[in-house]
Amino acid sequence: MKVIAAVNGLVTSDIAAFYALRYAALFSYTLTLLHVENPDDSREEVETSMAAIEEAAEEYQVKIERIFLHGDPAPAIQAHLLKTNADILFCSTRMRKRFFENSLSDKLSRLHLPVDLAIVRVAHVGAAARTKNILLPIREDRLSVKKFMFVSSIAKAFGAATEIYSITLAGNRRLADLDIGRTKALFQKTNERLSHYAKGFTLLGIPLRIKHALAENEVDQILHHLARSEFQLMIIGGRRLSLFSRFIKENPIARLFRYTLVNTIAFYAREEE
Amino acid sequence: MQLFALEKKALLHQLKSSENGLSSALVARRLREFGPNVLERAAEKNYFLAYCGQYTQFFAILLEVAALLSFIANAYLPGQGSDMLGYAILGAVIINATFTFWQEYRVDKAMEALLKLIPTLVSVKRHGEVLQIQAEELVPGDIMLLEEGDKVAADGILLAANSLYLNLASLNGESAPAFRTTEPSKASRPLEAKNMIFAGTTVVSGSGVAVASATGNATEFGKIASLTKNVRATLTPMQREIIHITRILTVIAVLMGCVFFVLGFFSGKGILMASIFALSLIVANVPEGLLPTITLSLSLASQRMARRNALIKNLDSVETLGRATVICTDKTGTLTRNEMTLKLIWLAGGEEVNISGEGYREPGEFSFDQQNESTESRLVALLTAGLLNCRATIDEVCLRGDPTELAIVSAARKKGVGVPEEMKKVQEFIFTSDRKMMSSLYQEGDKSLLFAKGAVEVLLPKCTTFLAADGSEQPLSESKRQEALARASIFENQAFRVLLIARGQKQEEDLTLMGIVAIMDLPRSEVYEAMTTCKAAGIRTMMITGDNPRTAAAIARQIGMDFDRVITGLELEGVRDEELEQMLVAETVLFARMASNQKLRIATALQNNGEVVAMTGDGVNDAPALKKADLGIAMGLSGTEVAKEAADMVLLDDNFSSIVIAIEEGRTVYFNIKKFVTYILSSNVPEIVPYILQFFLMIPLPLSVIQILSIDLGTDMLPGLALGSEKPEKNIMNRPPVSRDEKILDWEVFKRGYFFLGIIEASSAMVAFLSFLLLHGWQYGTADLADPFLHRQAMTMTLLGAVSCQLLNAWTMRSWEFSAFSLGFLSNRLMLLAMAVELVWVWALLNVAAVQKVFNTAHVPFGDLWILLPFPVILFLSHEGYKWLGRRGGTE
Repeated sequence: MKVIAAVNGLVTSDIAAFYALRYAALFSYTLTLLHVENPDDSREEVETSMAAIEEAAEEYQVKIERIFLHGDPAPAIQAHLLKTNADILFCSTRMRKRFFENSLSDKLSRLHLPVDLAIVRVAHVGAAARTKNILLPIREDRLSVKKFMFVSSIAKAFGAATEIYSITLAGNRRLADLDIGRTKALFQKTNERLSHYAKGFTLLGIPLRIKHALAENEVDQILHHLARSEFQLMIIGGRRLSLFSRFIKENPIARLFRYTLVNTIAFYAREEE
Repeated sequence: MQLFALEKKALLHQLKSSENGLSSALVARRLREFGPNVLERAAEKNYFLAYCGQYTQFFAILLEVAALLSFIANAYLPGQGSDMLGYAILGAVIINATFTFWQEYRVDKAMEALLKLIPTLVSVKRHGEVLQIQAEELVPGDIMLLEEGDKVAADGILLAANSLYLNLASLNGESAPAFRTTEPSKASRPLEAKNMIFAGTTVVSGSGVAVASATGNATEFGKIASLTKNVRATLTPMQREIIHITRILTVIAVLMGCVFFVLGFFSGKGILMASIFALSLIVANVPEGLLPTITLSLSLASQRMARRNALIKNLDSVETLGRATVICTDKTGTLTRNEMTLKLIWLAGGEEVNISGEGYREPGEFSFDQQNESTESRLVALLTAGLLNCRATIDEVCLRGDPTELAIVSAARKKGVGVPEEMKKVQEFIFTSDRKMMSSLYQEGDKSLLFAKGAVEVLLPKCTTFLAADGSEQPLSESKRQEALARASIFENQAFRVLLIARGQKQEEDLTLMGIVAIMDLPRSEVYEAMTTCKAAGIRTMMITGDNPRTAAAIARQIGMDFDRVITGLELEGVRDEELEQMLVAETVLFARMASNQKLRIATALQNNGEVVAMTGDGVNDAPALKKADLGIAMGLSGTEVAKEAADMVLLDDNFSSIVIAIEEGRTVYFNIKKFVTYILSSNVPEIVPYILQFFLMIPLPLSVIQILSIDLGTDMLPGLALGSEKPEKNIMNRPPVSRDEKILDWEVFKRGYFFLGIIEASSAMVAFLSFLLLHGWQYGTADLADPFLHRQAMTMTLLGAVSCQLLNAWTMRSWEFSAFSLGFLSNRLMLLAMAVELVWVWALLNVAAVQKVFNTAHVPFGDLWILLPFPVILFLSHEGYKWLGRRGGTE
C-alpha cells in the first residue's frame, strides 16, 4: 500500500508531505513523492524538496519513491492513482481570495479519485513537527467512520491528543429557548451518540476530549475556538458542493481554509463505486 | 522541533530563506501560498440584509399581513379609509424594524482599533537589498529589520539583536519592556520564547533582525483579533425578552384573529368582512409601540448612566446590568487609586519613617519612630538616591513615568528634595522583569556614583555595606542583612510593594544599603461602601489581578471583599474546566498573578454556572474576555482603545463604585420596563373588548383600527417612556439579582395588565360608549347608526374612556410595589410632561378638525364628559389597594 504526496518544491507542499510521511510511517506504507511537471515549478526546487523529505523519512524508516508525471496535473494524478494501489493522497493548497478556484486541490476534490484525499492548508510553517493537539470540529454528532479512522491515524502517528468540537447551530429563536439546563441536556445527548467513537479513541490510547458549542455561524465559532486554545492541527470533513451551490454560496470549507489560524487538513473520503 | 528552538541555519533552511532574504519570485509564490499579511474578518455583516431581516420577525409579518388585507379591502370597498389604515400599519412596521435594527446592529470597531497596532510600512531585506514594503506584502521567510519605535508586523524569530526590548502589552498585558535574545529557546509555547518577536508589539529600544515565521491570522496577535470578533453563542437577556414577549403576544393575536375569522365567516359576514374583523383584532392585540418604547427607554437610561460615569455602548447592556450576579474586577485603578504612594521607609540605620498624604500630588508629613542627628540627612540621601534613579517626572500639568517611580518622586517632593545640579547622568541600566532592578550611573566632578533600586532578594546580596545611624558606611553584617529581610517581609505582609535602595561606585556590585521603601496603591475611599452595597444586593465580587496573592488578599480585606481562597494563574493552569466551574459554584475565589487570557476561562466557567458576569479590563489582551462576559466593562482613563471598543460599557472614572451605581440603574431599568410593559398591555384590553362585544352584541363598532393605533403609537408612548425613566425604588439594592431566566413578561405582568387594570379600562371604554349612545337616543339592537356624526362621537368616547384610564394608570404604575403617593409629585418631570401632552392630545381629538379627520373622532359636548370620570379613579385606587395588599402579605 502507498501513501502519495504531491510535491511542488514550495514550503507548504513540503509540510503536506511531512504529514503524509508520518501517516505512512504509522502503517509502514511506502511514501510516493509525486510531481507533475509544469512551467511554474522549478525541477531543481522540487528535487531539493524531495531530497529533504527522503532525509526525514530515514528517521521514520519509511520507504520513498519518486514519480514525475507530465500533462494536465489533475487528470495526470487521477490516471496515476487508478493504476496504483494507494490509500490516500496528500496535497497542499495555497491561500487564494476565492480559495478553491482553479487550484489543483480544488480540481482534485471534485474528481472521483480512487483514494482518500487530504488537502493541507499550512498556516504555520513550524507547527507540523510539534503536533500535540488536534481539533476535530463536527456538526452535532456527525462523524463518519472514515473520518474517525483518518483522524485517529493522524493522532496516533503524532502521539497527539484529540478534541472533538461539536457545534450545534442555533438561530436567535432557538437560543431564546435554550436555557442552561436544556443546553446541558442537549450536549449530554450528543455525548451519548458519540460514545462509541470515544471508546474507539480510548482503545487506541488517544487522549480525547469532547467539547460543545451553540453557534449562529459554524465557521466563526470554530475560528473563535481555535484562537482561545492551543491546537497545532485541525482536521475537517471535506464537502463537495454542486455547481449550483458553489455559484450561490462559498463553500464553508473554503472560508475556513482562508481564515484558519492553524494548519488544517480537509479530508475527502474516497467515493465508493 | 519548534521553529524557535532551531539554530539560525536550520531555521532558515526550514523556512526556505536566507540571511539575504527571499527572491522576488519566491515572494510572489509565498504570497499566493500564505496570502497577504492582514487580519481578516471571517464574516462581514451585510447590514442591508440584516435590516431587511427585521421585516421577517413575528410582529412584523403579522402587521404586514394586516396592511396587505387593508389594501385589499380598500380595493373592494373604496372610500372606507382602509388604505389609510394600511399605510398607518406599514408605518408602525417601519418604526419597529428601524428601532430594533438600531439597537441590535452597531458597528463593531474593536477590530479597527486592533488594526491600528499593525504598521503600514516595514523594512525588509530581499535579495540582499533593504526595502520598505507594505506590511501586507510580508510573507513567512522574509527578513525583517527592526529599529527603536518600530511596530512589528508579523511573528518572527530573531537572527540578530542589539539590546532589543519589546513592549508585549498587546499580547500579555505586561507593560515592562521584554528583553529579546537570539538564543534558540526551549520554551513550550511561542509567547514564552525569548527569541521571538510578535505582530502588534512595539520595539522599545535596541534593534534586531528577524525572519518572519507567521503572518496574518496565524500570528499570536491574529488569535486576539479572532477572539475579539463577535461570535454570538448566547443572547442578551433583553434579546431573549423581546423574543419571548413577541412570541407570546403573537400567539394570542393570531389565535384570537383565527377564532373570530371563523366565527365571522360562519355568522354570514363574508370572507372579506371576516378578514377585516380578524385583522382588526390582530392589530388591537399587537402592542405596536412596545419595541420603540423599550429602545427609547434604554437609550434614556444610558444617557443617565453616562452622567454617572458609566458610558453604555450597547443598549441591551443596560438591562443586563440589572441581572449581574458576579462582578470580576481588576484591582489596580478600579478598587485602588492607581496612584502609588510611598508610605513607609526603613532606613538602614534602623529607623522607620511614616509619610502622610495619599497619591502623587497631595502634600505630606514625615514622622519618625526614633531620630538622631543624622536621620534627617540619611532620609534626604535615600530620597535623593531614589530620585536620581527615576525616569518619572511630576510637574504642575502632568505626570510621566512608571507609577512606582512616581511614588518616589512624589515623596521626594514632599520632603523638598531635588536633583543636585552638579550630578550628570552617564548611563542607565534599565529595569526588566528578569533583572528586577535598575540603576543609574552619575558623574560628580571626577567621581562616579551609581544608584540602584530593585527587589530586595536581588539587590541585598549585592550590598556589602550599609548606611549606619551615624551616617557612616559600615560593613553589612549577617544580622543587619536579616534585619533588612525581616523588615521587607513585614512590609510585604501588609501588601506593600517593597524596594531596596542602594548606592555604589561604578558597578552594580559592592553596594551600600541605604534603606527599604514601602509603596502601596491605596484603596479608593468609596469602594468599601460599594462593596457593602454589592453584598446586600446579592452580587458576588471577585478580584482578578496580575498582582501577587499577598497584596491582592490584603487589599481585598481592606475593602471588605469576601473570598474563600486565593488561586494564582499557575495553579489555575492545572485546574480543568469542570473543576473550575464546581469551584466557582461553591466558593468565592480571589485570582492573583493572572494573565489576561485567563480571564476568558473564568468568565466562561462562571457563565456555564448560570451566572451573569460583569468583567472589567483595560488591555488589548483583555478584549476577548470583555467580549465573552455578559457585560464587558473597559476603563475609560487607563484602558486601551481596543478594550474600550470591545466593551459594552466604559467607566469614565475607572472607579468600582461607578459599576455598582450602574447596576442600580440597570435594576431600575428592568423594573421600569416591567412597569411600562404592564402599562402598555393594560391598554390592549380596551382595544380588544369593543371588537368582541360588537361581534356578540347588537351594537355599532365602538373603536376603529386607526384609533387603536393612535393609542399604541400615540398616547401610550410618552407615559411609557416616562415610566422607563422612573427613579430607583428604595429597596432596589436590597433584593437578590433578577435571575437570567426570569422573564419580564411573567404571570404577574399578565395578571395586572390584562386581567386587572385592562378589564377596568375596557369597562371604562364600553360604559363611555354605550352611555353616550343611550343618552343620545340610541336603542339597543341597532347595530348600524343612521347618524355617522353620533357614531364618531360615541367612538371618541370609547377612545377617551381608554385614554383617561391610561392617564392615571401611568401615575399609579410609577411604583411596582410602593404607593404612588410616596414617590413625590415632581420626582418624575417627564411623567408630568407626558400627562400634559396627553391632555393636549385629548383636546385636539375633540376640537381640531384635521386630527378628527385622521382619527375619525368628533367633538363631544363638555357636559357628556362626566361619564369618563369614575373609572380612572376606580383604576387608580384599585391598583394602590392591590399594591398595599402585596406589601402587607409580603408577596412581592
